[in-house]
Amino acid sequence: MQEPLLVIENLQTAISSPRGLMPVIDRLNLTLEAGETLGLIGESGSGKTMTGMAIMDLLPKPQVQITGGRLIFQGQDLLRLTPRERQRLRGARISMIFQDPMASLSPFYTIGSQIAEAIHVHQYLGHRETRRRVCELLDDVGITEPERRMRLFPHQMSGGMRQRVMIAMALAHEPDLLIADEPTTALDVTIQDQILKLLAQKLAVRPTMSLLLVSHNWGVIAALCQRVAVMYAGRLVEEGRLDKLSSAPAHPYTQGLLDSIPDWDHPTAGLLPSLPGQAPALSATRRTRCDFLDRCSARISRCHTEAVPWHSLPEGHGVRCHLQALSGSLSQQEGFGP
Amino acid sequence: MLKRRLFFSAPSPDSTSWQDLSSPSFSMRIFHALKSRPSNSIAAIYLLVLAALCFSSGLFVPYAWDEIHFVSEATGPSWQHWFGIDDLGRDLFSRVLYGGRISLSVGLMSTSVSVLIGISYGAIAGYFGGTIDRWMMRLVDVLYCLPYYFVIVLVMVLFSIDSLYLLFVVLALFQWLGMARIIRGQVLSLKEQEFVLALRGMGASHARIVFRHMVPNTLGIASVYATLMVPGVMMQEAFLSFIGIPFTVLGTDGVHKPVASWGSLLSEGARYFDTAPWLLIFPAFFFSTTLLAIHFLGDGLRDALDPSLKV
Repeated sequence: MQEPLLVIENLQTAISSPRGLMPVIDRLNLTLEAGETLGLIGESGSGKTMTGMAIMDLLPKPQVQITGGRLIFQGQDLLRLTPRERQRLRGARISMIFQDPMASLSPFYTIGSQIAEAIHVHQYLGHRETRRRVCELLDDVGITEPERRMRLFPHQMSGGMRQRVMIAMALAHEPDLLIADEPTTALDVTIQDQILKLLAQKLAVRPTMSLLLVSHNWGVIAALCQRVAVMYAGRLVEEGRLDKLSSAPAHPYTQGLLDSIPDWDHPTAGLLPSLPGQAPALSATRRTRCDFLDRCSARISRCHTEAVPWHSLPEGHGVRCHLQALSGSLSQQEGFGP
Repeated sequence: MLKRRLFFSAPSPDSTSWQDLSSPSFSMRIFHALKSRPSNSIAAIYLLVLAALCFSSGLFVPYAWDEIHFVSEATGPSWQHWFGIDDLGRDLFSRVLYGGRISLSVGLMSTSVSVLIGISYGAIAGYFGGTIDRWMMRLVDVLYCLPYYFVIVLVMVLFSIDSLYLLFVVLALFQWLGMARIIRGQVLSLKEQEFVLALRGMGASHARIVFRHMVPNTLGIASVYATLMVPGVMMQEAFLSFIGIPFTVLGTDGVHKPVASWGSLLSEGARYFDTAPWLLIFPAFFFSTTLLAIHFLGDGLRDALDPSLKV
């Protein structure tokens, strides 16, 4: 079998604060095959964006540190590379699309010259050739009349257009791994749909390109991803195929996430269910008990005392929950209520 | 009904002229700023004419700035010598134009050098932040504290150089400090914007981000500050000349002579003000009107380039 494109092994990160290092991501393990699309879902502060940033080497340096683990991309450990070598990978082999297309383009240059810059950072092309390539890239992301639009400044474009430009820049060097960090959060719903379709189309055109999609929106992930990894409080709580996870979630948190999505076919009476409480605050020491304990409706006595191991299930499915040791699958249990 | 018609009659993107949509370039904004107020355009024209006269004066003035006419004493304006003759028998008209050349060059040269240093230094300090920033800005603070008129005199004594080029350098060495502070402050806020992260994400180096993205974004403020720096430098040169620090240049006859800048002309004029007032009046008039014009220009630029001040 071909080696995976990206292996995240026991990745640990910490924020340095006056009270010492506060661990954020705790022993994260993920594997991304070439051509695979993986969705990373979780609420704010769960460490999903930080994972993307760690792969890109864009973590704000003194404040956030990688304290352990390996990031193996195409067989080499990214964390052993020099900053120079990481820079050479960025934008060429690994690209990233950011959340806010309004702020991600420099206000001072036309979008044409910014795309040209994205090309020139890694590859020198002559003036004429650059121009042709910029037009081609703009055309590829569905911007009509590229010859004229490349002369526009970012503030003259709509959010959707700008996100298209960002995608064009990210794809300029045909990367092997595309990290999309909430690519649609800042856009309105109709534009979100267009951008997701555009990404899906780009993925279809280049079957070897992998996508790591970071989002808190199940719908966005479901539109693009084959596999989903659910993060909670810096840990992976469940991972598996999208269809498996959405039909038979094994972790109460995943279940809670799915329950809070409105279902038009079977509307719930009254309020939409939501998870009570908040994710635990950062602390200098990790507790041994389950992170999700306080919000979990299915907790049992050992959740309070024992660290939760990772349970591997068939078909690449895995979950971090004590209930898994008790029964095969949670979906077989009758309900989740207390 | 009316509403609907209004809605549909809104111009479609295709019918809009793309020229109208594209924002005015940096130079166009400056041009409009100068045109928008009469005081600005008058100032700009005055400066251009004066600079042209000063820098081409060698071509048309009948006498060299250091040529001595043997007359018994300083004489007032006449048809032969428009601005009169100074105590050593030199034509004041030639000297004023020549002095303008020196003063304007001092202002422009020192300003450009200090703009170059100040922008790069400030942008680097602001962008990298942390320890680099702390040490770089402490150096600026230390230099700020030096009483630099004394430093200039000291440098001249130590190296026994009195060349005008030294003046360019020394003035610039102290002028860039303010520029560095302003640019650093700008870059500090600019680098937090997401496009910097996006640039890092596409593999841009720090150098590229600093010099292609941070620096151009601060040019508006830098150009205003630089314009206001020119008269400051000219004043300092005038002050140094006035207190009698002898900067020399190569004269037309190949001998090093005390420079005839506006500052030194003022200094000489002040000495003979009771007997030959024209020696003070003519240089003072050109010096002060030039400073005034540059200040007008600076204010105009600030209005044009700083959106927060727009009325």
